[in-house]
Amino acid sequence: MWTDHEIADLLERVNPLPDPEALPDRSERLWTSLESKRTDRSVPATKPNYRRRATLAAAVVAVLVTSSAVAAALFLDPDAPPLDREFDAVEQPMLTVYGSGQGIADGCAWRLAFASTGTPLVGGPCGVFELTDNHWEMIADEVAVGVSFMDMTVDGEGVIWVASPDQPLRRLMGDGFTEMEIGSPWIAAAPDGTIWAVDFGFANTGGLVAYTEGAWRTIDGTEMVSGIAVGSDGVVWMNAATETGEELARVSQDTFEIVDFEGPRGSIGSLTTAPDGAVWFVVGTNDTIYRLGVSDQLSYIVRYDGASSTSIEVPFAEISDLAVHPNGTVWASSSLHGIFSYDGESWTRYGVADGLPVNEVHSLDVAPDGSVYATTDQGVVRIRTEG
Amino acid sequence: MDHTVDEIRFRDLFDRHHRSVTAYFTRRVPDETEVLSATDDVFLVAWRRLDDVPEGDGALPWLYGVARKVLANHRRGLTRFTKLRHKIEAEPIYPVRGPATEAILSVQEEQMLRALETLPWKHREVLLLTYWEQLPHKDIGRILGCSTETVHVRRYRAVNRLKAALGQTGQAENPSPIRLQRSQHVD
Repeated sequence: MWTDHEIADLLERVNPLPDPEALPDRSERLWTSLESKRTDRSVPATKPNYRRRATLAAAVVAVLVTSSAVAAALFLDPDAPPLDREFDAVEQPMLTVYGSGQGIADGCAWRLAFASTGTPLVGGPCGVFELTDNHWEMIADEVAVGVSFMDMTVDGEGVIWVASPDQPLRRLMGDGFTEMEIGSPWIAAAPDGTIWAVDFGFANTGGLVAYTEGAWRTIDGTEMVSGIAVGSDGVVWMNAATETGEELARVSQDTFEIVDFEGPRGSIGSLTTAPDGAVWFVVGTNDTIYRLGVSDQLSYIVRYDGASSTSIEVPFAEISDLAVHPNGTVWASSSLHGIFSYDGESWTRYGVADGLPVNEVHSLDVAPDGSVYATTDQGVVRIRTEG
Repeated sequence: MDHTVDEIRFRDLFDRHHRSVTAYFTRRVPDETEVLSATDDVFLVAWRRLDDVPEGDGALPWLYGVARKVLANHRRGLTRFTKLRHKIEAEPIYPVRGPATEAILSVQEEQMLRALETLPWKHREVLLLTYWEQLPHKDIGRILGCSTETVHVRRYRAVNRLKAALGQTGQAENPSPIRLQRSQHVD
């Protein structure tokens, strides 16, 4: 039987061109060819590209006029990529950063979970940590969580489960752990105690699996699902890859179905469930190949309550996680721009200038006390919220 | 003024990434003339859509995304040829190796190439972008227009399919060796 490591090693060995530098230098020939074709196309006889030139000229003027303001903004927020709009000011940035001085070393905070007592937990490649008296105490080390930590949850008995695509699921027990026969990068606990995961076929045919009373069962028709979230009503929401693209899907009473919601279509990710039972997720539209520019907004946050859906256009890029506060505020983290909240009317941004250690945020979640916790490569952030 | 800014940025984009784009096609297309033509096409798109090309680290995944579409067009033209040559529906992997003009694969490597050809295109491309272009899943998601989660799923499904396919090819009797031919460079 082949191991994953052997497969990876062999795939690299059959790379016909491991080092692009081994290619003969064709740059001059390529450039010459490109120049002739490019000149012809850049000055078309009947349809000049005025829009792009006008846009660029306007951009140059705008840069000259506002250069001092931009410089000031960059000075205040050196890690922030430029954003093309204003956000509501953070009036009361009740924000706490827990870093290495509080027990969280750089690169150790990836995912959040909360114990049944409400105690925040953070997991990552260094282990699992619990917040006690404003200090994070290690409760499981790097050996216990394994080599490729990706997700974690806490079941109804207070047991922490750790998920990884490269190793079996682990239940952390005291100083040790037990391994399941399932390998999954995602894991979620339902209110009735069921553990849900997406099996990558370690010992089964793959697909959505549920663990109850010491046994796993597979849900039919779920071979290509990912990114699960479980609602308070026990419904499991997920991304389902189909021949035509990605769809929202759910499992209720062990029955799988694709959900036909109204709204933008594209890649589906960052699924989360709200206290009212609605599912929220991010749709990255597919109408372009790949754009990162903030002026080209391609992402939407969609809310689906089982009957109807609403979409919010997202004014920033690279959403990494989503959470919904009991007061209805939507919180989103970005791997480029920090943390954002949306109260139904406007967005508020929390960036380096507001106290974040960096603008690259991995994940966030709402604690039982209403605080919002977020993870970064330089520690954990807590934002105290109203209501 | 704006034209000069465009020119400088485009030349910088070309200088930084033309080798990687050329390498992408060299790994997938057997003929060097086609490789250079496809690379041309990618940068012509980049020139026309220079405003859309991300700055910094985002530029190369964007170019790979264009390259993927250029390759799809290229392969549509080759479909009849490949079906005749390989007598299979799947598009072939084109083994082209760099410095050596010819190499003979080990049995395992030969099995791997055969197994790769049995994968659906979406699964195969995730593996090639991961292990040949050495890209993280996040960038692969951008290139393929799907979420990082879906890339995770496709990769692990692909590895499992490979294991199954390798199990089958491993039982084949005296498989004929595949010769790796370097494409003919045109000067």
